[in-house]
Amino acid sequence: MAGIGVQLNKIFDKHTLTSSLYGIGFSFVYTIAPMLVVIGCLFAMYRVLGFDEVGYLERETFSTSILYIFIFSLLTSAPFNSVLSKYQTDRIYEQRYEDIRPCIYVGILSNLTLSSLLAIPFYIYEAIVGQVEIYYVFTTYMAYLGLTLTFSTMVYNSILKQYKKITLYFVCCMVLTFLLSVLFRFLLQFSVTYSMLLAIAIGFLLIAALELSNVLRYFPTNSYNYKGVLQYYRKFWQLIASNFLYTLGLFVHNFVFWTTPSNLVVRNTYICNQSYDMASCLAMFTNISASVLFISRVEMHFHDRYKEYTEAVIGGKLDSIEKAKKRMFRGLSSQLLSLAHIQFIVSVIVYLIAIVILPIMGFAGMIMEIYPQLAVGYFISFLMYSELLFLYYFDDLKGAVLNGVIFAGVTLAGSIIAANLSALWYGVGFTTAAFLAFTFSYFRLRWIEKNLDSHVFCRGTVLRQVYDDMPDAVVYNAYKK
Amino acid sequence: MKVCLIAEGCYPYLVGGVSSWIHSIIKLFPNIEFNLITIIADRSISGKFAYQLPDNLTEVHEVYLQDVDWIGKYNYGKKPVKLKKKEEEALKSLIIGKNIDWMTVFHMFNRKNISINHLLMSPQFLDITKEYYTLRFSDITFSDFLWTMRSIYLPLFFALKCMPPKADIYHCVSTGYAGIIGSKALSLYSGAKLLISEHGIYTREREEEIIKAKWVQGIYKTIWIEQFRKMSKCAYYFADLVTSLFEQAHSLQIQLGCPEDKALITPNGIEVKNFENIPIKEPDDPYINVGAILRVTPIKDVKTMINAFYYAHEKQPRLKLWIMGPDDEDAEYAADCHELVRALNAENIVFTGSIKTTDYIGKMDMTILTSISEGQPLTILEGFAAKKPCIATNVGNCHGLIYGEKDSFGDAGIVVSIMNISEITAAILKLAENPSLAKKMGQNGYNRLMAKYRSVYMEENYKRIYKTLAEMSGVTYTEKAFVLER
Repeated sequence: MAGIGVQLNKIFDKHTLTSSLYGIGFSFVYTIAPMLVVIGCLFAMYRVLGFDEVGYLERETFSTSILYIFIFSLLTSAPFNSVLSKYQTDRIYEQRYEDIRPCIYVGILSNLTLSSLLAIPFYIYEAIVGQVEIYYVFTTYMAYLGLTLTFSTMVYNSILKQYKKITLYFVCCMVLTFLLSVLFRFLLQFSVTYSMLLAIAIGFLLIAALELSNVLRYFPTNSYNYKGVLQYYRKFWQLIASNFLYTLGLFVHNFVFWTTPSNLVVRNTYICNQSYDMASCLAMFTNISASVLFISRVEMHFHDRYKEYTEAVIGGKLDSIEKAKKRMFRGLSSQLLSLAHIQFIVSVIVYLIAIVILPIMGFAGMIMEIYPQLAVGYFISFLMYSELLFLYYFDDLKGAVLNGVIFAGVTLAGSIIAANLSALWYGVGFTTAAFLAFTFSYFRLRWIEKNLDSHVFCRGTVLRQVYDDMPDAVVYNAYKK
Repeated sequence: MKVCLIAEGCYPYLVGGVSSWIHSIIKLFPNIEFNLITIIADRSISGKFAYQLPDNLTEVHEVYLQDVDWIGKYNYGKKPVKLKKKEEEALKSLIIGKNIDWMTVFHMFNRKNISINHLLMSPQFLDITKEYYTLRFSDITFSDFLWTMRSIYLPLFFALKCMPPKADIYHCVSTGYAGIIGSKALSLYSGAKLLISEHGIYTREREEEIIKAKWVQGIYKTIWIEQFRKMSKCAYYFADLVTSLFEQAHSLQIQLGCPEDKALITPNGIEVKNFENIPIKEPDDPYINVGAILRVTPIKDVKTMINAFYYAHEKQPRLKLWIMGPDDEDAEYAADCHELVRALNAENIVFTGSIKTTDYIGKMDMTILTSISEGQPLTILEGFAAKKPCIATNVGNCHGLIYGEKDSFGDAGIVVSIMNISEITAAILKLAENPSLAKKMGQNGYNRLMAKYRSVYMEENYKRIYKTLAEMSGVTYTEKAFVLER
């Protein structure tokens, strides 16, 4: 993220209209473009392959398979990727490049293991109970692993500032996915859904392979220090927990609504709640620009001040440190406020467009009842995510975990309660959780501001600590000779 | 009666003046049970004694100034010790104040399992350091200052964490960290008394070291020096009696904050009997032997001695220098000295390593000491016991021993300036070429020793001191020999 900030600084420093537009475009391309490319590819396949004409069961099996692939690959890769990212950044800072390969291998193995532990029993269940063909189940599993690997390898490439390449890989592979699906369907006469599924599996695995080969090219040597990576897992368990809880909070309300009577059970295997899931997807897209705005406006300005502060800490006088600290927190507050202002305007406009356009596109009824509340919830949760990133900046992992606990916990409890309310209030549990986590993180950041000196200067140890009683100081005792 | 001796960086690990003194004190008082707290750098030399411990030394406790933080077996996940308001104030007085609340500081460190790490990394320590910085050092890099403060207080906190064994008298052989432990003992055992016996003046010696040191720069030299002064002041404050070896040291102690009514002079003493019937120079020995009985360390400035001897030898080829003493304390310096001898191609320089003084000293024509810092060197007194004149630099009490202090025994050698090669060369040549003068000076030294520096005098002095302190603490002083009862 910081890498984008630096590049954006260069662009925005020109202070011209074209450079500003280029900057926003830059942020867009390198943050949400890959995801939009995948969605675009799916839509293209729907249209060209005639997805609408597919039978209901087959169509729903495919849709829920894709939904699960996306949700669970995000959930299973979230815990490891944050720590792997930190490990890689730290080793690059220390110029111990030979330690990156072990990190990549351990990362891949961890991701695949956890993903498989969750997926294999589920897919066996799908094959036995849902009576889905083995080849179809296996292809779904491959697509799932492909996306998990894509997320995992994306982390390494992001740290290397390979944004252009990531976007390029997505674009090329999704074009290829589309072409393959057409080939499978019309030349090889596969079913519509299987053509799409197989093409997507190949596409995801190809992106992962390209990303992986790109990053391995950068780090040709291997120190074989696998233990070091595993030690990071133990040492930074809070980072694992906080990132997982945040991701869980984003989806746990969906899980709750999957269990309500309005749910849809496909092949006795997949459960979903189409109205709620679609509403949350739309609400997320309403606020998706927050990540672009955060990067282009908040981190870009904050990063410099944070750098000034750390430089003052390393080699400055106490009053320079105090001044830099004040400037940094002033910047943080104003940027958070600015993000809230701009994102609010963007969200309101997108919301207004959505309530006009979406019914025309066929989204109506319950979806549009649930949507407004969730749009507010996602608005707040994205602001909260910005605060969470600031907590990571200040190495406040305890605060980040508490944030995650509040977000995921209240979302779960709130959604269970909200499920009994009218559709208009279904999203209130999620919104409340986002608001509480936002408020907690806000006060946590204020607390950090007050205690930053202790946080910076009182961490670590001045000598090695041994959790044992001090050995007897007596080395000679004539009475015991 | 039990006396707990507290020594820093010497007995029973290193052979040298102070170590010999401690060893002889323990042997002089077979009626007293001694314990020893010995302060060393780390655990690497733990238990490796260079002396055969006397029977009446029953316990040796070690204190390390570099160690790990022992925070207790069951302290996993426990929160750092919270300081009470009074303790916080005491810590502040220790770092910033002039009137340090030592008693509260001692009590704070009497807490079981107090973590030195937690204390040094605590927000309280940070806040006090910030206040101190703002008051006096606001123009320097803060993080350097903070970490220097932590490194300054680290060894002090290790000393403060020491729990001394119960004794009637705590006898510190210096101020500094030993003085702090002795003072702290008084907070644990009411009625115990504290005696400080300084050989060199600790504060002054550390000052000299810090000024010359390369590892500490700029303003931090001042902070370190202040720290040592602070520690010595503490020892002087809590001590019931403070001894020094000679007049100049006595005045210096008073200047450094020791109340005059506590300070008294107790010169060193040696057992003259040990030097009767020692081997003497063979009549056919063609050499003029110059004996240097010392540890081969930078403080003895052996390199200057070698250089000076080289020039003297060029003029008087019969000269032979005997460097007698252990050379394992500073192996690098010792290697440099050997290299210098090789480079100069200086003939007639012999390194004997550790020796028994009485086997060699009688064979010498003169003794030599080129130290840059000394107290009252026993080696000069040993030379006097063997009727040998001494060439010594003007440090510590060397001038007093050689030229006398308000006595009429006459010169017992030649005092030279420190690091002055030409003066040392001239002195060697003067004694080498005037055997009758050397003999006369040797006799003068012997006479002075017999009058003032015999161990019997030292024994009398310390018997009086121990008796007085025993009386003060309500303990019976008995002449009956101590017998170990297991």
